[in-house]
Amino acid sequence: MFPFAKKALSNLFKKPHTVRFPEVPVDAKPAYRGRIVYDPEKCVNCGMCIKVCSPGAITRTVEEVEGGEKITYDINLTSCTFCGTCQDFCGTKAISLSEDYHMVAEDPKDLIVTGSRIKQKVAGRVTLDKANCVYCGLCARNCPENAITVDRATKSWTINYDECVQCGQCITKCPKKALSFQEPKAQGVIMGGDCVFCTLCAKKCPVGALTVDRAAKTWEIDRNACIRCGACVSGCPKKTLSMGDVDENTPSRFEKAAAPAAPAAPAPSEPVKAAPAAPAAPAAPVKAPQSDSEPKAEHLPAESAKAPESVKKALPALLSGLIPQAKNDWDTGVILGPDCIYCGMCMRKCPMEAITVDRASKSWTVDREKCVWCGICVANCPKKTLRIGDLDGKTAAPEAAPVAKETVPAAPAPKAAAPAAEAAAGESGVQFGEGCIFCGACAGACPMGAITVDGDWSINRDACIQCGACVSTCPMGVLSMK
Amino acid sequence: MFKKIIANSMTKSPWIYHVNTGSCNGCDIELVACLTPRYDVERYGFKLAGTPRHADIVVVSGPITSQSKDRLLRTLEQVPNPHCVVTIGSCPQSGNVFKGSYSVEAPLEKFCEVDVAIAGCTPKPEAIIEGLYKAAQILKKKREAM
Repeated sequence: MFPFAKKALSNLFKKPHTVRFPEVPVDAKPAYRGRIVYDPEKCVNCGMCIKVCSPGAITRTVEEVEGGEKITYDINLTSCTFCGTCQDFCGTKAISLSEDYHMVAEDPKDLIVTGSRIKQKVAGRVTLDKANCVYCGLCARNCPENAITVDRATKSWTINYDECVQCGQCITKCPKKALSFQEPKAQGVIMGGDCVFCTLCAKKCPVGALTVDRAAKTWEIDRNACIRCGACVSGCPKKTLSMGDVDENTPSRFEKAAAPAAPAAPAPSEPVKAAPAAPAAPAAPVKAPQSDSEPKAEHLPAESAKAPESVKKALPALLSGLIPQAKNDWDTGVILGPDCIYCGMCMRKCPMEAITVDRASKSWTVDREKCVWCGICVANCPKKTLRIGDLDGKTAAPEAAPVAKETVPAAPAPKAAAPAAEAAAGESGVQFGEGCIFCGACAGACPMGAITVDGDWSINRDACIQCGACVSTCPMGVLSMK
Repeated sequence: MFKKIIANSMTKSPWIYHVNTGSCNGCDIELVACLTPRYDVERYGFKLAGTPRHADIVVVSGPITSQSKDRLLRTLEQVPNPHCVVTIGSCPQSGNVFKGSYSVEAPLEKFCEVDVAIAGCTPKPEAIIEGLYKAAQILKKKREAM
């Protein structure tokens, strides 16, 4: 009749269902995700928790203190979703969610869990032992900062030390134990051994850390003075200097004995210069060697062009002190080919000011004392007629007499016909095509200043020597030579 | 003498007004759970008021969306002094996962003084009871100060 009456009666004598909370403490159910507990001693400052925290409740502050850096993690519980991802991702179990749910505060700052520790400076940085690496990529996947890149296909392993926080996760996770903290080797300039003692590096060095003695064929670096700016590396014409790891075993001195460096001159031949000139006076330069097959050319009329004004560099003063004046035993040097048009580009580009070109008299002269056969003239020759090669005795000997600088009679460049013929042709020479952007590169490249670019392109055919420098410089490829 | 009686009874029974400012409903459910027989905050005199004009404690949940901001401020203006503002969960304190959104105005501290912050997402009903109890204490102090 009253099916609930029995239940109601029995409930009368039961304790109430209500949780008597404040009087009787109540524990949270197991695995409840409550207040975050952070153990700074376990933390390796990998930052993974910061990365995975969706509301961005975790912040890290790093301040330099004596003997290391103080790393502070602030976990703001008023911003937390208590998802537990930080706990799951923490590799060292430094962060965990407790079952404490009593998170009530009058001041929200009381709800910030803070922990800090002083991290000693890690000796070294993550270094790979390539012999053991199998390029599995586990280190890259476990890196919280994505500082490591591993490419299995090309077997490459790279690390960005700017990103690396030295958490050591990669080292722990490496299955082959190929990673470790290693003291980074100091960076410095390394001599590759291909040095021709041109002294360009010494001149580029802003702190004077390099000493190059051309006579003694020595190259020396003061590693204490070197600021690793790399000016010498970029200035080396032989590309033999490089920046790399140096230690106490890395030689800071380079010496070449009798044999010259370049493979072009394998034999330690007798000095090219026959005459040992007096130390005070510069030895006479060798006449520019030319191949024997070259026929002598008649001189072109002097008025065909003026000698280009060479851009003088403020080097000679420095040069005189650095370059031996007494003796030249170099048996390698720059050699002029038959196609020279005396444009003077080599003279302008020569860092040692060893080349003299006179268009008027069609002479090309190299001062072997100054020439370091760095190859800059060869690279800049618009006619590609210069080369670096052996100066055998035959080349050098006849002209070796210490007389005045001798000039080479002009080689008969095939195109170097009488100017009258050129004039008659009228339009022969540089041809201007469609597509010019009037950038002015050709005008800058022209050794004769024959090209004017000013909204329009014009060439002074009288001044043009058809060297082709503009053609090879044109970025749009609109110029051609006819 | 009447004033004393009134003051005493008000201390014993602070009425709650609950404002949802775009909450996911999690905190709201837990607050309502506190009023059920299982937790029964009415044991301590806590009672949901139907209007802010009757309330002593304003409970705010949610990240204060732009739409609800004006309504929340209008509600808070109507609450007679002394009163307490209690936030439930992470949202009104920081915006939680919604922080940085174009339509979220959290934290609540920008608009009014927050007396008690209850952390959790969502807090357990026990934590809410603790928070309300703390709010009642503050309210008592405020009333004495008046």
